[in-house]
Amino acid sequence: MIWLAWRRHRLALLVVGCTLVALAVWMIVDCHSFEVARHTYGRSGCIGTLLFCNGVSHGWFSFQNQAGYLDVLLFLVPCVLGIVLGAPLVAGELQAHTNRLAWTQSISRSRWLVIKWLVVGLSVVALVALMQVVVQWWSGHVLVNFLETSSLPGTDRISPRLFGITGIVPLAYALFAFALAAALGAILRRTVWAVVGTIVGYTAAAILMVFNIRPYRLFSPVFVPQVTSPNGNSVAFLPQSVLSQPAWNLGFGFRLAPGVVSPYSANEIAQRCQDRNYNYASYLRCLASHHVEMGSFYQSASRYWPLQWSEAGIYLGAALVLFGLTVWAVRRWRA
Amino acid sequence: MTGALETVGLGRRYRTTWGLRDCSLTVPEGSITGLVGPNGAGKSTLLRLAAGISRPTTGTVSIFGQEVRPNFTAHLTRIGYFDQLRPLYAGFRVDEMLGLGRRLNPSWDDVSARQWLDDLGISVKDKISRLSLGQQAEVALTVCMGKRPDLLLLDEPVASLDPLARRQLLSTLMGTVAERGTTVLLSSHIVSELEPVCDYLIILSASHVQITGSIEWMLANHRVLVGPRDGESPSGVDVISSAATGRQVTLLVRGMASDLGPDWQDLQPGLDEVVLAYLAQPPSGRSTSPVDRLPEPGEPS
Repeated sequence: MIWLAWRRHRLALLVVGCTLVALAVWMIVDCHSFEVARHTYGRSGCIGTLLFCNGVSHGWFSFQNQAGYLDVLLFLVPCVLGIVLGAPLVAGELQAHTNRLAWTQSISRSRWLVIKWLVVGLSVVALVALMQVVVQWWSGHVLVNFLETSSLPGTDRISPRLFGITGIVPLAYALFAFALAAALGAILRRTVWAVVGTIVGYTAAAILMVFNIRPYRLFSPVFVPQVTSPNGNSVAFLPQSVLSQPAWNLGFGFRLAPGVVSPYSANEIAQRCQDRNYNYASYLRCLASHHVEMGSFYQSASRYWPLQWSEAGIYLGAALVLFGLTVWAVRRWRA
Repeated sequence: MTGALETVGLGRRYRTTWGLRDCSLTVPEGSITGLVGPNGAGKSTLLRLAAGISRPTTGTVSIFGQEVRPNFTAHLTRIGYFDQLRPLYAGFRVDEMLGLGRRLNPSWDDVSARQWLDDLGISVKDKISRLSLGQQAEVALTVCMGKRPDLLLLDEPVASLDPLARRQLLSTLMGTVAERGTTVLLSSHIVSELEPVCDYLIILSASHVQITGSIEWMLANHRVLVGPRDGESPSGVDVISSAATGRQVTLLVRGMASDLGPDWQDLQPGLDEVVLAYLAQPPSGRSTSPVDRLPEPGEPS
């Protein structure tokens, strides 16, 4: 059965593998051109002060664009890989009616599916893992360096731009996309619908993860209270000591003071205070009377690995649930 | 008697229509049973249910006394199922299809499978997608036979073959089947194709079993009676179909007319006439006529 799973899907795996090799070559070339660019523009003193150095920095900007395409592309790779191999896993057989051939050999359909799923699913993970070796090297060389020298925000691997394409989460993303596509294929029985459903589902999951779960739910972010000068005017958000550290800045927000229990969330109270108080000072008094603090949230860079493992765990758990769902759908005895 | 295949009240509903309804029959072990009916009569549905690919909506289906459940391998090792769509992995070579059979079936007989292909003139190095439809059917049948099944379920096995290849394939098939004592249930909508190879017949029409019985029994128990249109109907027989032409009426009846009037002619029908008479019967008349079982071996017919 392992032979059959491999023989049946080897073409798709080879095509995907070749695409990844092409991507790796692009990264290597990109890394080389980065070195050249740094050599050229670094010497003229333009790096770090780009805004004041327009004439020279044109080449540097074009390089920046290329690096930008690559990191978006890398973000899509695990999802695309999962879809390409996952959607036809069961739906392709149902559409070609080859399930009728496979399900009448001396092997139960559960076994047929489990082996197929594991062989192809683990191949997907292995391919992404190999790619990650190159990505890790590329991001260490180019992206981090480049972002730092451009003095743009989000310079650390904890920032969303790098978090999703480095470390171990891409492996979990790929397996999740594969499992989702396979499950939808087995339930909807059409490859096309499985692809559409996976794109929708995967995007929804990614949005929920990046905007809600990763910043706030896995580990509570560090809170830096707003410092208000005695005259109530000048306001400092993040202290310089924090800003100089690599971190994922989540921005301005409210929280209930530690130990305070309220049926309303801090944001709801803040909204009500704002609606009732047109004067800034009375607004601040309203917040204080309800024990709501204003300030900034951030995730420190040291949370990188805990966040990576937790997020990978969540996606892996979801993939296992979807795996179970696929087995159920295939066992469900229809043709 | 336990048959190779037994169904009790078997039915399968697709969304709004029934593919097969209220089907109770037994296919005797060692027999070669033909499944006849027009397109859409439920032949493929019955075979898919028997193979465990499809789930019954009502009733049960058993193979060699064991209820068919698709997630158990017990019945799977004993059946060879040939789907009417002849699904094969198009990108595989012929010998890779044999490899699939060898790896997934403990009882696989590689030598005879290769011998079979050799006799049919198919090279094992050819790609499935390069073969003609007829050759693909032959490869699919080889994969079925390679399992050495005890029960062969063949859905329109020769539909895509030319007349010469049909005869050749059926005779090769029947030779092997006779040698191994395999029970065969094969469907077709062409009666003349089944008559020379089958012992038993199941006639399906409009999702219902019209009649089952041995071919011998069917021929011995049906008569064509031709007589005057306005005369008295013969007594002691079930009229299956009647056709009036001018002043004459032609009846196909089951049973022997005890005392036919002198103006009646009593003729021996051909098998296709009997089958057509049952297929033409409206489903409403069904409940009064069928003998929904096969006669016991040796039972006087």
